[in-house]
Amino acid sequence: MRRYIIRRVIFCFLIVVGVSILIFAILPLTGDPINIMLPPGASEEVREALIAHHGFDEPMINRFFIFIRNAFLRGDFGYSFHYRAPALPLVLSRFPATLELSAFSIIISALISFPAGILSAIRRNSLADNIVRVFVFIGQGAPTFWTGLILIMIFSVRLRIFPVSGRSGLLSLVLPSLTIAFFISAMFTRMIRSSMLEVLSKDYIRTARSKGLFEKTVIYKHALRNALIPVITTMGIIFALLLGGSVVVETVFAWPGIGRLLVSAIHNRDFPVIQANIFVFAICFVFINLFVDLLFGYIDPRIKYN
Amino acid sequence: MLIVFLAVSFFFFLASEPIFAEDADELIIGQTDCPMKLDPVYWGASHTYSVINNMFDTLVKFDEEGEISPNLAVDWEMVEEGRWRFELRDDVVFHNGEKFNSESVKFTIETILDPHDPGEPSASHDMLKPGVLGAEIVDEYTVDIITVEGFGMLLPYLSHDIFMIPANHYEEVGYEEFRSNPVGTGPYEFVSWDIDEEVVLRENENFWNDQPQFEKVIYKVIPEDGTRLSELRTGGINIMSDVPPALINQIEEEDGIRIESVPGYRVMFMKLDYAKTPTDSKYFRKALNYAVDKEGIAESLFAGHAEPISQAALEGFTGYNADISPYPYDPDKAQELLEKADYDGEEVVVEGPSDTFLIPQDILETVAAYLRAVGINARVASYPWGTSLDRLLESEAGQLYYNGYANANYDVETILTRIIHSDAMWSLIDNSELDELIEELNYTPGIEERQEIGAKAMEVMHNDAAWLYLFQQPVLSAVSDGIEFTPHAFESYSARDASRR
Repeated sequence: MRRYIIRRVIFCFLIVVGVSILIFAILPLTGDPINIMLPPGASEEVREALIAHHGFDEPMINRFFIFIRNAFLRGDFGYSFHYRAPALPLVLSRFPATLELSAFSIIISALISFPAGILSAIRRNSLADNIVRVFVFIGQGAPTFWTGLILIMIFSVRLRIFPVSGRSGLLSLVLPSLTIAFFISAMFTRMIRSSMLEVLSKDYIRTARSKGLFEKTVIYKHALRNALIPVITTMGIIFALLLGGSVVVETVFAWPGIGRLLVSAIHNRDFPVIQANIFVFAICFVFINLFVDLLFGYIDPRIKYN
Repeated sequence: MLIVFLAVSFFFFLASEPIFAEDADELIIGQTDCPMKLDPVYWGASHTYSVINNMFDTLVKFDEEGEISPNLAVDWEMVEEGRWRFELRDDVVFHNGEKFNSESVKFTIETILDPHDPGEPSASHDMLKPGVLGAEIVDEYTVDIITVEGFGMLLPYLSHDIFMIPANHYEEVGYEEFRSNPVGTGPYEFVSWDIDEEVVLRENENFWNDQPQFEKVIYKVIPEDGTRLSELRTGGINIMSDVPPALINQIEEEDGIRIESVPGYRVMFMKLDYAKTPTDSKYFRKALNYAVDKEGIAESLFAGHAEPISQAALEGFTGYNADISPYPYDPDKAQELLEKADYDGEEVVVEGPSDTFLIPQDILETVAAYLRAVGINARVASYPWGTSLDRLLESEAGQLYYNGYANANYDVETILTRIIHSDAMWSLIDNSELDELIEELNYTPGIEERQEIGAKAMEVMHNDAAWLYLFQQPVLSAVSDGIEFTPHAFESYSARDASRR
């Protein structure tokens, strides 16, 4: 098992390095960052000086080795073209905001989707089930942009319960997380519902019932635990994806996360920030995936890693 | 039951009026974007200028009539060709206590001429480099700025773009530290900057001029228009920048908030490519100008808040030609000119960036529609700013290219040199008479001569229909009723222009 983990960890690093190299190779194809940096009407000399300073006149292979050396041996992703601040610290400074938002969203969506999904499964085709399914339909169909603005209109402007935007404490976290949660809990509710339905039709459930166990015990102790296995692992992956930053929600709520940073870096052709951002995201994603796989193996005794 | 109760309460609350929070000593301004840097040597776009303007001062400034008037300098004269002598105030200190004196001026000029960060373009460097040679200290409060003979733009640049920085402090801490902790002489001091989140300033109690109106000034980044408006309604911000034109009427009808707008210094136009057909024909270019109804665009797309332009210079600018009026809307004349130009139905691409300016997509579509109405085979193309710029510079863009340029120096030379002269990187114009006039203007110091040459350049451009002239882009802000504020025509939202009612 230990060897398995070590092998996986090595692979994780290789993937991160591989992704970073790929991005490095692709970025110049998106366009010339120098033009954007120059003030309008700048002269050719200024342009050339800037190109020389950033090393864009060097052959690609040199730039590649410099990048590898700086990024992976020194942790230096260079300076943001746009803000002239060090790129990796800039991204890392925004990361806690995204982490907060992602974690809170997952928690809220669990609080919504677990009861909804379970209710929907055990009272299949009842009124409750149908209400839940309508909610799922709306949740998956409504654009997060719209949901966010509606929540602001109701809970911030009219009811004055929550701040409109910005990151200023627990209250400011509620609406943006709710917006994300609304969307993903629709997905989780469906998953729990179908997973529960599948498990509830299994033989061992019939056995448990015929043994005379209370229905509650059957559902929560036997059915739910097994039904949750695929759901937990998906939640882990969704959490990892959310760590890439939910751009729409971060924009609507002016939430200072890495998603919005990445999009504006792309818009500004801020290559160092894009690289640093993707690097951070790649690390989170591969390691959370590893963690989820190991968790899966731990929860489900049928799975063995070797 | 619970659901019914909740639904009823929601309706009840939806019907009520929002109440406004007031924190008397704070001014909070919501902008769409973050400043790029806070070191005035390198400042860039207007979001940056808005913030920097509060922390730093210029040597001279433009007063309400557009005349150059004293600021940190109390008097000035050209003592000989190429040498301007400035007498400075003796009662000014920087936020860190360092005295402002001729050393500060010398250091500022020298740093701009030779910025310490080689990886960072500097707009002020580009402005001063062609004409300014250096500065010399005469005594503690007298300093000379040496220019190339005939350089006429010194005072306009000093009044708007060149901010004074503290010599000792800057040298001591270095440019990297300074840009995260700027120190100036302005009414507000730097407190903190969370990149892409907010900048916090506090009042400078030792400010040399009128006492600042607010204890604290916060610039918040709120990119989404609907959210920014909601913040304004709830008192989360007092001033909202960049109001989308579509919301103008709605905001004007609402209680508690109002629109404050000025015609901006940013002139909007379509560049016309002299190197491509059919825009290489003067008749075709003129036809374009008659074909588009600028007044109509101002009325319908900007609720009347945009001003059609007749030329690159604006009223009050040196070089403004009062004898030129905007091309009138005359589709019949346009068609006549198309015939004269032997227009053969060639496809004309109306191109522009899909962002950066106000409602660019609407403008492109509207202009294309006017062109089609007179028989021009027009097609719209738009790309995000970066791609669009690349296409322009590689000559792949359409024959018409939507662009704007903001010029706050009250002098037409800047826009002529940087955007219009045929050698300028972004210019699509090729008119040798115009080029000669611009080159002459570059070395003319006297105001009257500059006025003459500039006005002549405007006339030549107008007769050659070098651009499809459009309008001044309005600076649209929304303000809560407790605040008195007008945005500056340079698209800056400075706390200096705000006060409590």
